[in-house]
Amino acid sequence: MSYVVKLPVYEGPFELLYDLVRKQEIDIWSVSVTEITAQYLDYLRLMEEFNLEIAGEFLVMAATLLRLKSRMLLPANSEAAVVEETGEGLFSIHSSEELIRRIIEYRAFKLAANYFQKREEEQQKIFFRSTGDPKIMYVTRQETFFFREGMLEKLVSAMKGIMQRKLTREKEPHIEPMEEYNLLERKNLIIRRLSQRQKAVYLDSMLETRSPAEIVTTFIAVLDLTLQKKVRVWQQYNLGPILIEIIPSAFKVGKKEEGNAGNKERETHE
Amino acid sequence: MNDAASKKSLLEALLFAWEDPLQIEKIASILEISAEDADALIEELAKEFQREDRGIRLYRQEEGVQLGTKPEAASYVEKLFSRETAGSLSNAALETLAIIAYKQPVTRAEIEDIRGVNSDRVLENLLQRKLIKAAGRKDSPGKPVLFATTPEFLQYFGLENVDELPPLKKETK
Repeated sequence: MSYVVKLPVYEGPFELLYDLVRKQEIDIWSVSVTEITAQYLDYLRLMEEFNLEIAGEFLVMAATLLRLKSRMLLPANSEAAVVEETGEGLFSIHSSEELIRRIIEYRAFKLAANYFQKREEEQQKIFFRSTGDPKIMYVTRQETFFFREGMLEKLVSAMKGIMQRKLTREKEPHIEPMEEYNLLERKNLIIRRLSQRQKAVYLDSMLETRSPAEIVTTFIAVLDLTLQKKVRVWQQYNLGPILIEIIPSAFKVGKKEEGNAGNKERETHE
Repeated sequence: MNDAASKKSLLEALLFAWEDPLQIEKIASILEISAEDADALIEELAKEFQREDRGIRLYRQEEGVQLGTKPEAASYVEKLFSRETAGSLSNAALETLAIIAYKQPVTRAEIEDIRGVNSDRVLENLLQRKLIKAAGRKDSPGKPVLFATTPEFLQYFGLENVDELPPLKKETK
């Protein structure tokens, strides 16, 4: 005989905390941080045992709880306790009161969500005259079931086998290297090419890879050059291809100007 | 048939013909009666539909009034519809909706702060279902989008308006 164990699935760390507090059946304000931290970590361990993916937020909360707990171990006025922690990325919970306040706030909305669920249930029993879409909803309720007594082990090893096969067969994950486009370089490139040609060319011919990054950089470079009156851009007809041409005269004058302007414009690197 | 009785039957005809909730002002103008009279007529018709031998009920919403089946008939009416029509909102969706309903207009960051989890996808989902809408931007750094509930939200939960919601249980016990 095997039996089914249901591991509740929590939407987020606050739901888990709220559930842990609720199970203690004590006044929420008498909750001990040490206790709740231990239970919280126990649950995460259980999830790990079941090979469940633990969302990042749960780990962030674990770190937040541990920070809170360790801080409480320090004497109130010790130097270490006074040091301001940056704790970037952690939940901004710095005292047990704050933790409880956050759980209470979460609870209020959780209860409201239960109310909405009840209303939804009642409302779904009514079919309106309308052929409207509100009745068309996807089933998204999630529940996870696990089998015990040998079943789980078999399931896990089968899963491992599948993962193993998949991993060895498939290619390594591959990430395209980030292309780097530099606005100044792109402007120089455009000027260089245009002065070689000394006549109008299609703007398209300035592009090599047509990646979004390249198109954006080229576009900004052309706008910038137009503003500095170093190039001229036009179309022969509406929606026609864009032509670009260097303005040689402006360029000669520009040299002088640039000389006494001294500080070059700042360029942003993309 | 006296005038009131005939007006009532006309009201019934209007509600049957119109798919969406019908506004009281519209009913009044079509039947050429005052809004108060229309209201009284609706009340009367609603009472008639309450009778046990009727399968239809009259439902009032913020948007107006609408005919629908009685809840007791659900298990039978359901058989007419395909399976997926009976789906419900996920817990995440309900939780997020609850926050928006009570705190609207509210930003994504404020929602995530309470829930403690990223809420991009659930918001996307709720927007798609038209249960929430973007209602302007908050005047703070980054000008984040503010979310609010829609008339469809009220209809989905059978609420007349947002003020009808029970107060949040914020006290400690």
